[in-house]
Amino acid sequence: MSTSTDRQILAHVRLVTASRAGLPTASDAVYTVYVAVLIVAIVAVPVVRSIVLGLASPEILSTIVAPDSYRGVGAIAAVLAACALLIGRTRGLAVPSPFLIEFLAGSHLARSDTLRRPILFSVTVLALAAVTVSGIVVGARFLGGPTAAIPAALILLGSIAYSGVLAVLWLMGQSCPRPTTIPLAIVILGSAVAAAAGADIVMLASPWGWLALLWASLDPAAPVLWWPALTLALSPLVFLAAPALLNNLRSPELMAQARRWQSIGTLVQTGDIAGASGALRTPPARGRRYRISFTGPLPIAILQRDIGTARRFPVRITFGSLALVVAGWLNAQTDSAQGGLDWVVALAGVLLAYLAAGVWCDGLRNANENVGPSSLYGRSALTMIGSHALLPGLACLLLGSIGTIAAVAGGAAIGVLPWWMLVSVFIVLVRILDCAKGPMPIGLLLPIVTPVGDVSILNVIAWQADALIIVLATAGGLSVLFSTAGPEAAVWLTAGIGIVAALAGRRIRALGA
Amino acid sequence: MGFVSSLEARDVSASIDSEVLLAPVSFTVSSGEALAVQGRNGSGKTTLLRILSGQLRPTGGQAFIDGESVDERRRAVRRTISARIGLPAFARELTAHEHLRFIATTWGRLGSAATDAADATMVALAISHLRNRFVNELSSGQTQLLSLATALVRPFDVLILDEPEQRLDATRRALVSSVIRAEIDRGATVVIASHSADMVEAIADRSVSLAES
Repeated sequence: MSTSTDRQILAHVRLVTASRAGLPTASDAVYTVYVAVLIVAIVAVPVVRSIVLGLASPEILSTIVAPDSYRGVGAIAAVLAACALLIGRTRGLAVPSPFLIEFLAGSHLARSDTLRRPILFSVTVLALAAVTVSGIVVGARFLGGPTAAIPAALILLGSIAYSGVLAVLWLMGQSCPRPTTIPLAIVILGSAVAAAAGADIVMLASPWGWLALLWASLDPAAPVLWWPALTLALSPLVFLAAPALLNNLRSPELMAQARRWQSIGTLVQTGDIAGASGALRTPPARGRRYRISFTGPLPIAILQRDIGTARRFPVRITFGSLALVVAGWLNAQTDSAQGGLDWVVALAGVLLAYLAAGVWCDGLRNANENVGPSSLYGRSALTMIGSHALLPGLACLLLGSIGTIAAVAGGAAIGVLPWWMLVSVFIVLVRILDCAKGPMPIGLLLPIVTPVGDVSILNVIAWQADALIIVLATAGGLSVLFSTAGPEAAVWLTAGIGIVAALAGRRIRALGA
Repeated sequence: MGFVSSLEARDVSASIDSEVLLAPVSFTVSSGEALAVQGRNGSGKTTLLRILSGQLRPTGGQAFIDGESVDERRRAVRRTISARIGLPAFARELTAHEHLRFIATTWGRLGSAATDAADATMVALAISHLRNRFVNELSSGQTQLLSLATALVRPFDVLILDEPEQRLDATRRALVSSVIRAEIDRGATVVIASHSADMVEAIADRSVSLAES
């Protein structure tokens, strides 16, 4: 509990930081506001408008206004709650700078006081994000047809209240040990499945269910439900637990998160996305006694090595495997999706597959990092990288096929199975291409002067995101084409595989020279 | 300032799975006394200091301050122990003097009292001439002295330092030794891990040698 002395100390601390040398001037603040207004006017408003219009298109709107759409809302809200719990140990709700953790959170002042400002900032951002997302979807409903006004307002207010619940769950995930939070997250995920299946108990007894019930009353024919709005409005009372959760935070864990996110911020600012994602990969803490054998021909020995090391990251591998199964299933659904939804499904499927394949690529990354004139390994770069590509390739083919076969059992055409094989090969080759990229050419940082300013950042973004762009444009686009012209799509993708393989080979040889 | 009577390690050990980071060790250090922790690289000196400062939970045994378990989540523990284990997270936008003034303020030395504490600490460590430098403008030895100053500028009963001699020349090592010795004479309990024979000789009343783990 904070005392008047504590408050006095904190006020003086702010005075010291406010009187420091090199403080931003008033003109710096005006410039920041100017840039923010420009970004909102030029980027945010058109993007939000196009999303609202896209959602209001007949194909998508029919899903949004479907009578059972509230179940989906409940399930999505529950999944978000589980994610908030799980993400806490990777990036908590309260992550101030390492300096403030060292000297302010490390002082004798209560952490519920010293971490209040970072918490309030995160809670505000979360509330803004929640009201923006709900505003976009409700806006699309208004554009698309008759929608009850009072429930729409209640949804917006309810989403703000729900963001408070998410914030406390997020803080729980940061403060409480994993043996507590993981079972709780599994229970919440179970309730998400139950909500999707229409279980009334979830709707009546959970904040995500109350949000879903508010969604159901958007239909003008449905009665306005006040009690879910009331219970949801009361749910931020869980914030009463926040001081205890904050005072339970351990400084070494706070510091580890703060240092990691500071370096990620620096890497992102310099455009090093690969470095930033590398900082997110935590080192292994288990499985040191697993015996990894290196027997047989080199590709088999390396496959054993990669499988053995993958076992040391059970959580990451589990989520990556599930994601590949879902990616295969999604890819097979492209055929049956209508209108603009086929693009959404196809792009989501290949994006998920590309990201999930990454969890199997540790060996591939290590092989690439050691390519060079004074290579660590006694075999050619092409041999090493090719051997390390076996595991991600097998994972994509086998795990993705499980999802694809499930889709075939659900009525999808059998042709999606060989199509997924081609997509898998393509995605793994793009992974190799991306790993073998080497450092960014310095020339890309040279200013490109245009009437709207320096646009060299576009070059940097394109270079950083080239693998994603290739996957989305080629595998995603051709997956849409496959639903109407299968053989042509297969020919094009085979050609794409050849081109990416040639490019990857050239990059590897260049690195090894 | 009321000094604690003892800092105690009772069969403290640390391991991850079956990998031993610190073999069991026991000792008690009283107020006005200094203990040097010695041992080869990897013997667990830093791990022991982390446990004594409450930043790491031991997997065996326990550490106590005046009979209470050490856990840095408790405000009273943070108030009692000043630990400098590795370089702190400096703020690139603060000068050396502003760092110390900021830290003194967080410990309740408000206004001119914070300035006085910062000044006194800089004078003691002979770094007053660095007051307006940013951290990136300091040499490695000067950075080490500022790091030690961050631990000394705040009130404490127990001072825990990991290799305070790092990057310091012989003159600075002697200076730091005399500053720490003055704190011990004032009644502080001090635990240092050190590879420097001259610093151990100048500071410690006794030492404990850790077995290689």
